[in-house]
Amino acid sequence: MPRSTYRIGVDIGGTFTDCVVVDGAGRLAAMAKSATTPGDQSLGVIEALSLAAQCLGMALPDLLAHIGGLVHGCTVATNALLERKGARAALVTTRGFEDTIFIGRVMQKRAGLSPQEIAHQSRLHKAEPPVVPLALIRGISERIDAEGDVLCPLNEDEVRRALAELIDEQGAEAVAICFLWSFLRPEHERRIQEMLSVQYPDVYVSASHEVAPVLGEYERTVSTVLTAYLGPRVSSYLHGLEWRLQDEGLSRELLMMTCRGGLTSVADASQHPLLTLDSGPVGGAIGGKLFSRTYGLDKVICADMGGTSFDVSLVMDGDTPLETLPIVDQYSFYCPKVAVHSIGAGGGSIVSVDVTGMPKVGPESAGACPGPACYDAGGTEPTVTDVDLVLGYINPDYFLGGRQTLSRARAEESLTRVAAGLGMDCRELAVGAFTIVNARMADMVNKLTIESGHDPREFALLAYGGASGTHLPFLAQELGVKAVYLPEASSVFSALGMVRGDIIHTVEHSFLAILPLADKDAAAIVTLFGELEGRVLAQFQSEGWPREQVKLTRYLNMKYRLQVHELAIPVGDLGNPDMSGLAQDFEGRYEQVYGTGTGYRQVGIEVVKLRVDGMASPPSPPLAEAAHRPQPDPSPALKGTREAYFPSLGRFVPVKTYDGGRLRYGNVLEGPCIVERMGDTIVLPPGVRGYVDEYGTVRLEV
Amino acid sequence: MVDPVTLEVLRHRLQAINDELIQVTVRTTGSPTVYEAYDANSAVLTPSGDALCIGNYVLRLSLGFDTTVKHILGRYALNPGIRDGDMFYTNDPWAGAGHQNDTVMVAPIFWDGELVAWAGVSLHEMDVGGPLAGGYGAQARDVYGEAPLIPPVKIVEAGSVREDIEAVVLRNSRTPAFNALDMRGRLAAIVRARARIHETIRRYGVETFIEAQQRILDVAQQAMARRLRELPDGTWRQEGFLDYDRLYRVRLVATKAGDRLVLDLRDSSPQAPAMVNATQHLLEGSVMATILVELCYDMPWAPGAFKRNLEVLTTEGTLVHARHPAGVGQGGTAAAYLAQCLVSTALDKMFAASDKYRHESQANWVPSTKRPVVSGLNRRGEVYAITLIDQAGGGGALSYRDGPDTVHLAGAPMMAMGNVEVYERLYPVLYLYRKHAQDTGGPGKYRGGLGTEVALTPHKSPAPVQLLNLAGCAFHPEGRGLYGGLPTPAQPTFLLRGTDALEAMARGRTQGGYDELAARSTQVLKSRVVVKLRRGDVYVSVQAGGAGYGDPLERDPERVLADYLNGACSLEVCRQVYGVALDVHNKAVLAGETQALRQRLRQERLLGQVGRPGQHTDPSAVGATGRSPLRLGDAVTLLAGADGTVWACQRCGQTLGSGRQDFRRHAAVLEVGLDTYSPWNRFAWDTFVLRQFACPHCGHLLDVQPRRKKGPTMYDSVATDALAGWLAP
Repeated sequence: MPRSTYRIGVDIGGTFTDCVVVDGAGRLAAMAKSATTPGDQSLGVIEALSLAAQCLGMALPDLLAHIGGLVHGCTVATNALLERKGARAALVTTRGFEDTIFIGRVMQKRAGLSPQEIAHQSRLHKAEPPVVPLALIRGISERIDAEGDVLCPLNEDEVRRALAELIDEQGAEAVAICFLWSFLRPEHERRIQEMLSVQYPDVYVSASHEVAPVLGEYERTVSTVLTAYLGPRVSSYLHGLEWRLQDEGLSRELLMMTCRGGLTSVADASQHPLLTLDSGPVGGAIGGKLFSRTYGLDKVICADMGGTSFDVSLVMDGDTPLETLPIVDQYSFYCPKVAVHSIGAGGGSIVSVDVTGMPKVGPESAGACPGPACYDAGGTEPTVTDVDLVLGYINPDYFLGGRQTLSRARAEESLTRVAAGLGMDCRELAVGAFTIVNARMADMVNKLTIESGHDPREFALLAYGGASGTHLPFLAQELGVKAVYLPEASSVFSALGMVRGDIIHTVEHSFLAILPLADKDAAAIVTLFGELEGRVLAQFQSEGWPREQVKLTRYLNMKYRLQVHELAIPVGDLGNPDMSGLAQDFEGRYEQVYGTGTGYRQVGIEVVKLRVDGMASPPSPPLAEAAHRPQPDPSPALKGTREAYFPSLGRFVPVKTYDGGRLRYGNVLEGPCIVERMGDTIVLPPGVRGYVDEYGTVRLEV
Repeated sequence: MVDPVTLEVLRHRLQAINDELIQVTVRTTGSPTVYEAYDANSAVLTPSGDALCIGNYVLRLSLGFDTTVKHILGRYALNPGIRDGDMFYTNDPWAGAGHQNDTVMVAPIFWDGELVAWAGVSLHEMDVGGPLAGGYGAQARDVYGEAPLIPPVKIVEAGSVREDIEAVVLRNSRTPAFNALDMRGRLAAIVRARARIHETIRRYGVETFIEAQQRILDVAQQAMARRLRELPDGTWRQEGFLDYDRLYRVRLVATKAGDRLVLDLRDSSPQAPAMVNATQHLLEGSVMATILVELCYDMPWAPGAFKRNLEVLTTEGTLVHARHPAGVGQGGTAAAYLAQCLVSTALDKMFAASDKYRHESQANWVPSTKRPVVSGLNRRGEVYAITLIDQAGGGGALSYRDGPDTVHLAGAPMMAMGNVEVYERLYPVLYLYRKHAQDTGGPGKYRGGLGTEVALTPHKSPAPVQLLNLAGCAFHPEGRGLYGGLPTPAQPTFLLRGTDALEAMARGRTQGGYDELAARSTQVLKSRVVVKLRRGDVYVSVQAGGAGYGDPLERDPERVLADYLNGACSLEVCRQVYGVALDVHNKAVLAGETQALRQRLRQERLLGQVGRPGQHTDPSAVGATGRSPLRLGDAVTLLAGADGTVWACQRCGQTLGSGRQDFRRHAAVLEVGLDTYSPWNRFAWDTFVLRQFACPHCGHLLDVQPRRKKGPTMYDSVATDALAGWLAP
């Protein structure tokens, strides 16, 4: 197989930079982890790539010169925003509306907070510090109205003065421009872009009609300002990395993972840095989507339980739903993003007593340092990892594949101390905490599925991340989920998702029409869909994808008149030219989501948007051991036995433990038992049966 | 018995179900009041109508559901009956609605023929009829001049909307399509909640589900009782005013003893003819909203439980307990919200007197809402009526930080303010500006957050825009500061007739503030009047911020400089209220001049000194506050005295009488004009004054009360006897 078909994924996480190399057939050829380098993340990337090349017995330039593609997800934007280390950005806006970003529609005080945090009135405050200070905001005389009429022409003298003050005197590195109604009529914003490009060609510029051409000045301002704030950082990192990689011999374009779940160029990511937010977890979600396709699953809950957080995304009918107005650090902005939801529940979550005198788990985390009590590194508060250890689920001598030893005594000590305040003993609290953390996660999953009108019991559960194997089999029982999938190499699942995931490009077009469609509207829709598809295909073509490998899907967004929230209705090939079935399709979908008798046809139904999704899929890995005959007997992998507690039995029982590395295709596992793998521990509760499939995935039937 | 873990799971599940009620409502509505401003809330209740959990949008909107459910249970059991698939609708403020616009839909949830819970959603409907478009009933003589009352009616029977009953509701409204859509949205929400409750019962069993409800109420109540026991006993008195056709008064005596809290509002003004009164249940629900966000912020919000430790005393026929047929069209943001502010101050003084909860003590948030209720014809010539939720007040300062800017009303954490573009798209209006308003935050060592100033004019309107000035506290300050922190200023509304705003724009000049608009005439509008706006007329509204905490002369001069530079405070206020002299050109504090100025301002506070100062103790003794079990803000501290305890000024150690008495009785009292601390008070009535209580020795400001001239001082008494032993050497 020619080496030029290798594809590489690099995912920067909080602790590790993961690198995976897959071959032309989609098989994992190499994986490597190196420490993330916060100062200059490109150092860690090069290190991880070098290690991966080493695994393949190659020098890095040799590998980079012969690859089919390199996909990257980074935390530069996320970190710069959370740590307020973005560029010195200025904002130019309509005079009289300079405070819009601070007022934050009042709801900035609670955006993104948990219900319990929101309930605590005296603690509510705005985003601190704001990403742009008032001193770097200038109001300009200009005004456009809701119909796009210019009420006040742009005052260019004010603009010149403002730019001189902001850039020459105040040293702004980036300028955001956001005027009222600019998405209807962008000429004032465009004029300032021109003035900047002539006079200040080195200043980074973001304009709201390009960043987020949608109604709602607060969210549009935030999107534009965040773009200016993050753009210079993301741009210099990516260009630096690209230069460095080219220096090392990279022959292909560096592609960035986007929060929308697609890929984009370094140039585009530099112009739209919000696209790189959360690209790691999104990589996991995309991996989940691919996984669901490989297994032919329609509905999958993709769950990543790590050290501090539990991240969940859904695959619905083979797709990952988008969130249209994500929130980061109390700022909500327009940048449709794969919906990945998080709660503070992970191995490091702290077990304590809440104000009502009940046991409580998380959201506070002990982090990696000092970490859980059982790390014996100074942490005294009990955590979920301590609970797992006390209940016998994890092996103190084989944590992280034996790289770390855990202290059972410290774990018991810490739990006993907290249990005393509840009139419980150590084991009772451990059982209680285990159940509570699972219940919190279950409630979150319920909420995600339930809010879209779907029953969690119809879903499969895909579990990855360090703590998933221990908790999610129990969670599955709680949710009523019937099948759990624990993939191999789950610790680099997100990087794999980036490189194996589908490449998606989406275009949309606003189009207002009332049902039943007039002939001219129906004709216009057909024409527009043709144009949109042409644009999507051109994009794929520029990336080297042949037409026949691109799958196109058309959607019409519809709603009842007066409503603002829409439903996207897939419309197939619109073979029926009068499109008479649209109302029925919409109302059918509406009642499916909201219930029988909840529609209100009397107000009318309208089309508001057309959308085309294009998708191309890299090759999927073949079945690893499909040629072998399945071997049901797992005893060659048997490691020993130990006592573990199972809530359904109400006591500790001796269970077999297996070495995950020695399990083979077809091995059948009967719960209760435990599988110890390199990065995680899988616990099979009593009555749960598992087997190892052709891909090395441990599959549980709950 | 339900084990604690299952209980915790079920409690969260009910919360999730309750949250979903709102989510579905927001997604299906057509009203920007709901999808843009979230003026809505939900609740799940026990079969007998005790609230188990409520949403955190506009809390009071669902805090009357217990009244609605009890009304239905008490009267309708036989006729028309309460059955599976039924839902009830009401907008009657005597039956659980906040005011007529806040329409309520609640439904019984059955399992196997047994009533196991109630669930409901309330939201602010754009229009529900009556003489005044948009509602509220300003200038009505009684409730018959407001929007019609619909007592609880069975609007959904066996899962289907009763079209005859619905027609009664819609026929009265100017916005029937919106109301009908909202009806179905809530039908969808409740259907969803019922399905989730059924799933929960299938999983855990109906006995567990029912038992868990009682246990949730029990643990919540125990948590609240514990919190109350941790706080000091005492009595706190407050008085506030409401401006409508005349000035009305609400008085509160809050008494906390052990684990009981009694809020006595009986000495309040007789009811107004219409609009501003609160029904009894609305008053209780509103007070509960304050208790939830201030006292129960970390407990399960099970209001049914908290009522057990709380007593709210009112007299029928007063502003806070309206007797039918007095009008109640704006009760929630008028009398009831005023009562919330008073209760808030009482709780915050209670917190201030506790070492453990000192950080929870927060001065009043903005004391009254401001919103234009506009109606007329939109650009397509269709009738519209809408309450524009387009302004925001500030949050109160705390003992350790400034209040947050523009947070809007207290007790409505998830509520939002509309984007200008959303309102301009739907309605024929143009916003000239919307910004933080200078000098609207109550000064203090820590300053109250800022409110907004907004200007609105008709634009491309085929008819004059009718505007109800939904406002309050237009001419007097009402948000109370704490321990020397100053109140929020009055919040005036201006009507500018015949401006050239649009013409000036066309010439290239926009307006950035009230002072830049040239008008044919300017009128300061009274609260709750109706006016008509034509082309060129501009409505300008200033919303107060939050109140301050601590003596403003103690504010770090660098913070005052920053306040000046970012426009939060005018130069005049920096100098005269904060006593900070600034070198504006070099953006620096003039330290020497500031010191002299502050000294002079402290001396001036002693000009009106009354009575004889007490014994002057050594300030260093006061410095050892670690020994004192009781400090009130940065104002006074409790020390051991010759016979029992004494209060002493925290700044200089001057004693201020026995710990058994209010320290204010021994302070230097001075009444000054309201315009001394905010230029917005130029428009305030001169019948109100600021009554300052300063240390008679050093002039340190200990408390400030906005009072009517000659009005009584509001005294507190904290039970200090128990602390005397603590102080004994």
